[in-house]
Amino acid sequence: MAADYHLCGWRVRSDIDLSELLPWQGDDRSVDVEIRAASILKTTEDPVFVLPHSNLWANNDFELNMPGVGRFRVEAGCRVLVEPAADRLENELKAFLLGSVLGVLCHQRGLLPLHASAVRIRESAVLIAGTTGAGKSTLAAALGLRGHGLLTDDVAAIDPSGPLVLPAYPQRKLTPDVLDALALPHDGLVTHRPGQVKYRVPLSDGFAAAPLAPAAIYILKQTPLGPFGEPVRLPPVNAMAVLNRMIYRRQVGTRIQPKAALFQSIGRLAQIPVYQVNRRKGAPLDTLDRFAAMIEAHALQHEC
Amino acid sequence: MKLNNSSHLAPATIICRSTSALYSSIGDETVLMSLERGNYYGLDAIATDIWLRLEEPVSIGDLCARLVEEYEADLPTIQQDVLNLLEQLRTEGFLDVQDHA
Amino acid sequence: MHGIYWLASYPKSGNTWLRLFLENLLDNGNSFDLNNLRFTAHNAAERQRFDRILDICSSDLTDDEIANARPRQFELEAAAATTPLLYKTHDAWRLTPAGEPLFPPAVTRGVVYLVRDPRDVAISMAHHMGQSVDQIIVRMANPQAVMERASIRMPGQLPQLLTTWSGHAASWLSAPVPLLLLKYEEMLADPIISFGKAAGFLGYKRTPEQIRAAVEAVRFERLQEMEETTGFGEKPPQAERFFRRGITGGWRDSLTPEQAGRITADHGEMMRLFGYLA
Repeated sequence: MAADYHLCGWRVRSDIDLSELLPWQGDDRSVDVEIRAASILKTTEDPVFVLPHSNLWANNDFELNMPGVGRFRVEAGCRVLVEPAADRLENELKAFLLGSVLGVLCHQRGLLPLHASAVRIRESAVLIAGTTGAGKSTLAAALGLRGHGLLTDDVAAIDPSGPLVLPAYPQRKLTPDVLDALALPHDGLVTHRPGQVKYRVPLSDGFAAAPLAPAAIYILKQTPLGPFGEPVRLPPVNAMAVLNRMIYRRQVGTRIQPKAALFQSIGRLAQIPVYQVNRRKGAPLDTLDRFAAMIEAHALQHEC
Repeated sequence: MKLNNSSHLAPATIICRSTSALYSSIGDETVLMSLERGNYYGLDAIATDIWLRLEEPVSIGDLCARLVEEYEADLPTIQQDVLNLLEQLRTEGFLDVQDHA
Repeated sequence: MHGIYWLASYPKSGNTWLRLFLENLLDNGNSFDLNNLRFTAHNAAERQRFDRILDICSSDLTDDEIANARPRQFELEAAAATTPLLYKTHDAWRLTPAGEPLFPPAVTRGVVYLVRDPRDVAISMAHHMGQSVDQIIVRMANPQAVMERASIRMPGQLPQLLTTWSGHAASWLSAPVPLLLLKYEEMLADPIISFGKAAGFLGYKRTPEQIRAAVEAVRFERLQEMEETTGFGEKPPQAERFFRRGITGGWRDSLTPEQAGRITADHGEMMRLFGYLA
């Protein structure tokens, strides 16, 4: 039974349950993205770019193959076919639908997806970027407790023409110790994938559901000394190089989008001040609130 | 416009931006990227000014003369700075150098 | 294809020391930054690298899926490399859940396997992990022991299956690849010979003087000073220092006879093989 959801401003009609997304409550327009459970037929042409789990064809059609989970085909930024592996739980498919598939949809639609969380501070978005484990979700959650709504936890879809940060869905991934530090309950939570430590944590309120222009971008960097440092503004060339490295599904994305277009998208985003913030690896969570307070105060100095 | 990586840069040399050079203005600075190599390169405010003057082919001599007027600096200093920048741009693949007749 | 050299060891057995020696040697004696190694920084379990090479998010994968994908990462890197690659690992040599070698022999040029008396390893590991020696002795005998279990947020490394201390050594010694065995005790007693052997095995032609200079540059006291100044990213939060003592036989002062006895009972066969039991 298909249902309509909201994701990054798109009307998404999906056979697969995606109840962590907000239900579609917008206007009556036609569906932007269709997600169907279906058998995926083998294409006659060979892909032009091949990685162990990913294939990309000349027309930008993309396939992700996760043995034991399912096969996902993403076409023209609007059509997703999902062929689950035998008796695979729908829950397992979500990690890839809201991860790689979302990233590829963005690339096919000319958007710029980044590895970043985004929160709303006053009237603007603030992006928190960094590599896996840098502490993006944790910082976003701490800022959430300070009253700043969440736009997205994992993949920040950016419309470069604004630029605008597009809201994703009200859920984040947090570890048990962070939940404890933020006095959030563990009950009834499921881990992202079996055997993992991070939980999928729904946001009951405090989701920022409208696109927002970014006012500042913070790149979290893990260092041996700490607990944390003041944000340091990056010169334009470093800012662009860092943002380039933060592109979500980068190898596939840089083959879907023309290099010139991606460069211009990053250039538009880099008009916004980009800061590097050092945070000590494994810094104790009792410094988390102070860290969030510092970022908040720093962000508020901008035109939010 | 013939690409020449080895010819000496002289006042009569005609130069221009490489067609494979992308650029993005950020504040009064510029970030360049070579489509061929994928490397990023940053230009400060003055280098940006020079870059903007390379949109159309121009001789190094003419370029320096205009900069002398603009910045009220002496020609040898300008020439040195310009040649340094142009050499770097050429090395990074951002500059087209025309063979002069 | 140039292939990969694995610098393999159970933790706390001199792997970092060897890599810092190589860093200095390969950079022609230039002083290095502990936190910005350029020649010997590759860690076979570095999460970011896995994500980048395979263009996938390891945080979306189960441990089994990650393990099954790692041989593909190594194949891609070996295919793209213009010189032999050096990779540090604490993983035991083994098959992935899908049944193939984690470290594909086809891309393996050789292995330098470092080993250290498990009684000294136990002391060092206890300090490194902020645990009691008794807990470490149990860990060293646990065939399911994993390093960097994702129990504290999302560490920068993928899970590395250690197995037991003996099992770890046995797995590498029986791997179908060329192997140089280095004992920590010999590195300490005669560093110029040991490190020189390693450099030669890895294909680096250097004069005895260059070897000597690199050995001097990574003298333990020097490394301790560096760590004091800049910190060291490989030190976990719970350890006081990474470069703590750097001696052999320290176990005689620090282990009770009962603890030493347990280690010998658990690992006696391999200890005898390496000459750690008189």
